[in-house]
Amino acid sequence: MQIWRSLRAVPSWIYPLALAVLVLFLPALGIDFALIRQVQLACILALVVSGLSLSLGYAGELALGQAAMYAAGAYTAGLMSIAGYTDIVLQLVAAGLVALAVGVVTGIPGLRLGSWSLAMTSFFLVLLVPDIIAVFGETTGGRGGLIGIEPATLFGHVLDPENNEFYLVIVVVTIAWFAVMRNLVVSRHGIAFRTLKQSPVLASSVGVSVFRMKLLGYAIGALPAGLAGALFANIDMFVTPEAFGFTFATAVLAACILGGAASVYGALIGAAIIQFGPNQASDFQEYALVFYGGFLIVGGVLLSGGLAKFGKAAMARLDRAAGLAGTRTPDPAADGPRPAMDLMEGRILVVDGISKAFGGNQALNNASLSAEPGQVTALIGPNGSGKTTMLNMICGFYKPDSGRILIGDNEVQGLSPDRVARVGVARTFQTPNIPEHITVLEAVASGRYSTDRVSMVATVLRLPSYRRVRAADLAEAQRALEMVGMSHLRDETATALPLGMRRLLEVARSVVAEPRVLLLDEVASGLDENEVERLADLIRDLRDAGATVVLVEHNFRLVLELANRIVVLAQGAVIADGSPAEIEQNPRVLSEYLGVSVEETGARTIADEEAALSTEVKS
Amino acid sequence: MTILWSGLALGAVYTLVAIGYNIVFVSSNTFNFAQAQLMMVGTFVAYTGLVTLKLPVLVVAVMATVTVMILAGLEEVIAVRPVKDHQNQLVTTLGVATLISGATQLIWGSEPLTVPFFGSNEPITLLGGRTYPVEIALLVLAIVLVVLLGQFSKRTVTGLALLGISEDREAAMLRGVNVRALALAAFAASGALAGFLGLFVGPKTFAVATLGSALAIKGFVALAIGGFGSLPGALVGGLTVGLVESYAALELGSEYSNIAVFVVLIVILMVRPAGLFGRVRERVV
Amino acid sequence: MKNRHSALVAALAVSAVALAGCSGSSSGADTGSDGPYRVLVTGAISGQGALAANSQTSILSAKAGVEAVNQAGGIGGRQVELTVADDGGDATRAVSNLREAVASGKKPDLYLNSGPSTVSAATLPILKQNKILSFNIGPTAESSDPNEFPLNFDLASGPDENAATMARYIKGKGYQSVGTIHGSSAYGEVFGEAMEDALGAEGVSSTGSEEYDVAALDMTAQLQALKNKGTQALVIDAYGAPLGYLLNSLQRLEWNIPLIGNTSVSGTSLVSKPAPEGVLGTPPTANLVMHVLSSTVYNPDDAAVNTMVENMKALGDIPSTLILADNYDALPLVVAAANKVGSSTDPEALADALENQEVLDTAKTAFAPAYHYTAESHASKPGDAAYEFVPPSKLLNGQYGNPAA
Repeated sequence: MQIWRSLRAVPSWIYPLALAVLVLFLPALGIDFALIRQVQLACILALVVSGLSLSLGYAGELALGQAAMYAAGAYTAGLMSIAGYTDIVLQLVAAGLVALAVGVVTGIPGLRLGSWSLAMTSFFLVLLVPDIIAVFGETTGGRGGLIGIEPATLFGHVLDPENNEFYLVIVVVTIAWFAVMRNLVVSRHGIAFRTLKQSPVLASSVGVSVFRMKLLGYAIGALPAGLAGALFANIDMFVTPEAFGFTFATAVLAACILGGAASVYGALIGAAIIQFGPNQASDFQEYALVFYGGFLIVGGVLLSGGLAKFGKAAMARLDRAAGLAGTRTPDPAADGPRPAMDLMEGRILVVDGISKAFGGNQALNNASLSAEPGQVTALIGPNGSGKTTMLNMICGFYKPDSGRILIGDNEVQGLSPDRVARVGVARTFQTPNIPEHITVLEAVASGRYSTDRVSMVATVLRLPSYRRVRAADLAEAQRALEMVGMSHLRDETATALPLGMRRLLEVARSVVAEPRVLLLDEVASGLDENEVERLADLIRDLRDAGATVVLVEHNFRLVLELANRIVVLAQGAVIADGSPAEIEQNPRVLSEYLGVSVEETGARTIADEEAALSTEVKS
Repeated sequence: MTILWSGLALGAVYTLVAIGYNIVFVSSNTFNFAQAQLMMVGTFVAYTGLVTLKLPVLVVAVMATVTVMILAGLEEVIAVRPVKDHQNQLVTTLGVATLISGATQLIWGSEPLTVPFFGSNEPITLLGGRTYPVEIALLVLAIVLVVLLGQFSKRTVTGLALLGISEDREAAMLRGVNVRALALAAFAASGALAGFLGLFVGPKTFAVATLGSALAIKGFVALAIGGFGSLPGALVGGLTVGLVESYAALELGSEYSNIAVFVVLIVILMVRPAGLFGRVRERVV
Repeated sequence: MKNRHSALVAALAVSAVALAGCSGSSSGADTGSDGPYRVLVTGAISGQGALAANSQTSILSAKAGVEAVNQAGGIGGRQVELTVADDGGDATRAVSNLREAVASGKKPDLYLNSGPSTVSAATLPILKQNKILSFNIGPTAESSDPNEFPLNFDLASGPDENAATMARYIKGKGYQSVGTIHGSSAYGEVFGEAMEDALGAEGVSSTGSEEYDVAALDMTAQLQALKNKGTQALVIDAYGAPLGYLLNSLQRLEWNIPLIGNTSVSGTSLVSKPAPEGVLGTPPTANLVMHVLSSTVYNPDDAAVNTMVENMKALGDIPSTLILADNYDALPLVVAAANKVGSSTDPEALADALENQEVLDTAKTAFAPAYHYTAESHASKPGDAAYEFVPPSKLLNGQYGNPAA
């Protein structure tokens, strides 16, 4: 165990780096040619697979067209070489850009469709590669292949295969790409991709444009395939369309699934296994498809997460055995006084005459309400009265049939959810929606994704602008967690928390975005008394700090405590709107909500009824 | 006119694949990548029965139907049921498709095999064009199946149950519909159909191990053009693909025929993402 | 952290390049005149469909040729050692195997392949770089050009030569308005163009050349187009399954015209098997003749060819037609060249000798009766006497027209 502890004390990126250095030095160690060549082919395959990992594992899109971008990169580099531009750096850049362009162009129609259509359309693309090459047969050499590629050069020096110089180029490019991918994936952009994969709805509610993000994932996934293509063209100085067919595309997918799609190094593991394992046996070709098919089935059913997931689970077990697991001292009381909240710039929310019908069902009927900054406006009503529909309407998930919604001076009805979110609306969901495999702190910080932006380039290169934003992310998330009393849980896996904690996490995530309007959807249900208290304090703080809080709740006592104003919905229409005292006495509310008629109750209020009910239940 | 018959027959084959996709899609909300490969197995079994074993047609029909039905049922149990999310189901059904392609190659070799049609193998003249009886049979089958299955889903309890499952699986379960059994039954039924159709498709396409992927993609295009879940759509989509493919080969050259189909697919999907007859869902959250 | 990371990597990369420069290359051990004469033959043993059977025939013929030469004393006293490599029909693998052989220190003295032309295109530059003598059965546009590849000799005729031979046959039969239909493979496309040119050179009118996709199931469209242009005779290029579809489409159009199939057709097993496995005996094949070498047709009087067949049979069953047996002639040609040069260690000297017609005439070849390499062209040009046009029939020992089949 002591060994394990000291191994883990070293930052985790050292190990891949050490392995990379070893691979770099393989030729100098006298390893024979056959192995060198297999390593080269494995690196190239790993690049292509990592592109698929990015789109599949992180952005959740089964886009299988990598083979087409690989082909694009290879032919670009080959044609450049024939035209006299043999510098490998130039070829890599050009190949990457062409593959990126192909990725974007083919991604646009693909991403408008559902996931199955995207998978099939991208597979179709693979089928088209030989046809397109044949159409441009004059330039590309058609089915006979592209011949006449000259050896690659680096800044004028011809890369000599005898000295394994091209091998070094391949390994260096592979290392560089995986470093880039790692930096991207562990950053807030990686979290954003994972959020997208978990739930596009959630992603848009934190201001992420779903379409743009998917396209970005798809396009970035194209880049390494282009690089791999350029390297492939130069390794044999020969490109033939047969190298980019179904068998290759299936091998890429099998490698991705086997290694683990949602892992940075899974691509390397999968590619290594496929290249060094099955590809070695020369009579494997007959069994190739059977193997790949088997891998895919087994991988999809059992290994979801691939070998990388097994690896992580094993590491976690060893951690626990060595006593390295996160300290578990959940002592909420030890969480000092609540930090003061910054002033929030709440805006007035006005819903004016909104109607919405789903098929024959009239969900909202000319409903209107307004919520002021510095006040808590509660929205109550029986099930099916249209409360959630109203919230979804405000957020932009549905378009109203008629009416307007305004946030401050901005009309937001009909805007897409991510744009509404960027106007400054934050919400929680009835069923908490949190991406897997991230910590509580990261989950809360993800709320800041569109309020404080940093480019992917800056992220990958770890520029100062990135560091500044990251520091702000962590600081703000920490504060938000302190406000909900969960900062002792910051390093726990977010999805491992019980329901009540996840609710509070969602509130923290909404708060961290400094929203102008905060929509809380049944946030108190499932919380115990302490948690409800904490929540109430938090809502009061938010209100006092000037936020516009809209509270959808069933817990009527809480509503009475907190609300400045209560709006009552029933069957899609607003039946009452006023202060808590007014609503308590309102006969129509009594009968709709509690089913109690006025004559029987006389002067009894709803609160009295509820108290009586709970006494009955207890006895 | 000959080209027209040829294109329509080809289109009928794609329609039959799309019908298989539809049956599974409606009942388990899954897209079975291996559908076309199942049909391919049907053609090989038909070959073995008719040519190698020289059995009577009816026996071969039963053989093919039962074999592929069992295969499809196995697929559902091993590769579809245990997998919860749709994305992984895509991967596993693709795995089954690849496995079947590979296994077929191992068992029957990779040379194409001629499957005789139990009717006549002589070409005939029809309406000024030359065609084969099997082509007419394929066209008729496609139309008849679309009509029959359409009636089945609207008129019978099982059919309505299937429609219910496709709308809302949980609600259907709560209403007492045995979702799992029906999903398995639907898979098996689509397999049985694919096996039976092997006797008709084989004579047109030859039994060859590369048949699966060609049909899979074109069948999907038929489905996408017509709309997921719509049987008339599958017919329209399939015939469209067949005709586009044939006429593009005639007018432009063979390398353009796939490109032409792809272009048509993209155009239709950009204009009507749910296909010509599909319905867009309203509720999102 | 990242800055350190990247600096570290850069430093390592630079030092690695420097170090690697010191590692040097393993130079091939000099093959003295005592060691065996090493021959490497590559083929698609694990390939798909027709390719596997054809590759196996090609490799078998190489083995038989080596046996025959070794029995007769080897090459200048040196025994021939044959190694077989499996490329699965994949050019990348062929390159990989070749590079490995070169780097292993036991560089081959002679390289043989089993096609297709993509494998040749990929391996020729490497063979050139390493100065290895080679014979090629998958001709490419430049494989027979001594300026490009001075050490390579084509055993099989390229599409140009094949097309010219077929055009002469067609002229002899008096056909006019001849159409061509070819597949979208590398060979098919070049053949289609070459055929049109060759017909023109013979003064035969051509109705054009149509291409079909090798993965397509139906060629009716292309055939209809040719029929519309008034085609009276049809040249067919088809390898494997497409031949079956093509013949079906012809029958469908009820089009009864003379069909002339090229060497791809004669290399397709479908054509020698009766229905239902194949197309032999079906109505469309009644009009078909195929372009084959004389050695592919059974002739009880041709001693050299019959010996070749015996030698091959002794080593294994012949899985496809003798059209693929080109490699049998490779070793006899080298023997003839070595006898002239006096040694077998200098590939350039051997290549020079092979351009000498006197040397070529002394070679004991069987697959083709004669070879005509010159300093201007390394194409085999065996001459029209080496070819025949025969209708399909069952195969026996890789030959058509054997009454015992």
